[in-house]
Amino acid sequence: MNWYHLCVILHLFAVALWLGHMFFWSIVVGPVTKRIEPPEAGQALRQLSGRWGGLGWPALALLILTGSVMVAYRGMTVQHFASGEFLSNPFGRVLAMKLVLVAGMIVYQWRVGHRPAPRLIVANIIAALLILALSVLMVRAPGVF
Amino acid sequence: MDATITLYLLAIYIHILATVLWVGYSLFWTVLIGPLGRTVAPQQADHLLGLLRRALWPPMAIPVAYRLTLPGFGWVTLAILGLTGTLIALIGGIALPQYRRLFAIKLGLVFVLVLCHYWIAQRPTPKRIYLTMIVTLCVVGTSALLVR
Repeated sequence: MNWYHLCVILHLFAVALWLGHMFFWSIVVGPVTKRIEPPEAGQALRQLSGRWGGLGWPALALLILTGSVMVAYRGMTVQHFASGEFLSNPFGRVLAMKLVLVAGMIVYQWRVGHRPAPRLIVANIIAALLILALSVLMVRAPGVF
Repeated sequence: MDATITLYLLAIYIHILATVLWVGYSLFWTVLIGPLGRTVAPQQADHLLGLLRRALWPPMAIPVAYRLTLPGFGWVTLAILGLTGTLIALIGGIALPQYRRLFAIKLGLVFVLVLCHYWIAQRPTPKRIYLTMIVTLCVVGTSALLVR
């Protein structure tokens, strides 16, 4: 195992923990605990499970760090990005789309964070789903990249 | 892209989504069980856990008969992981010997994970929940090595 493998493992850990937290709490825990009777019990369970809400920033930092190492491992340098040369191949174009969506999620994290924003959280989840899809294409589409 | 590759990529995508949801599910129990044991009396904690285990998801939109309990949600996620994982292995293949060994380790860990979930579905205790989280992270780590 080398640094690259370690980065892949850490990247997947960060994705799984951050998005797992975001998806499961938004899609399952929130709706389920709001319907538990009596409502005080649901409220208590929501509060008790509400810790670890600050996963977003540490996960983002780890994702950017490990993602940078992984991109560099594929031979992409700062010059490639500065000159726009990375857009000359399909891998680079998919990476660009992914980075735009990541930037959107960073803005969401910065401006909204854990404040209630029902519509924006849906947009944030869709962005996360698209990022996962683009990542699968980048890593696993044989012959395309 | 031909149909096999599309199916392969779709299987990977669904596998990753199911993984993310499973990690979220394991994390939920991990985050909840600590403060529940410290801040709530044991009898009240059992009552709250009982309410949680019987709560149905989604709470609306589909008939009650088709809704899932939280442990049921875990079982469905594991089933999706098993199905898509089988599909990925069948299409992608486990060609190199070192991957076969890693794959066997992953399968062993998945077996332990299924056992852990069976215990959590019976009665969620801190030891069972923390073990599930640790095994889950080990499976994710092994999978990351298999991808490369």
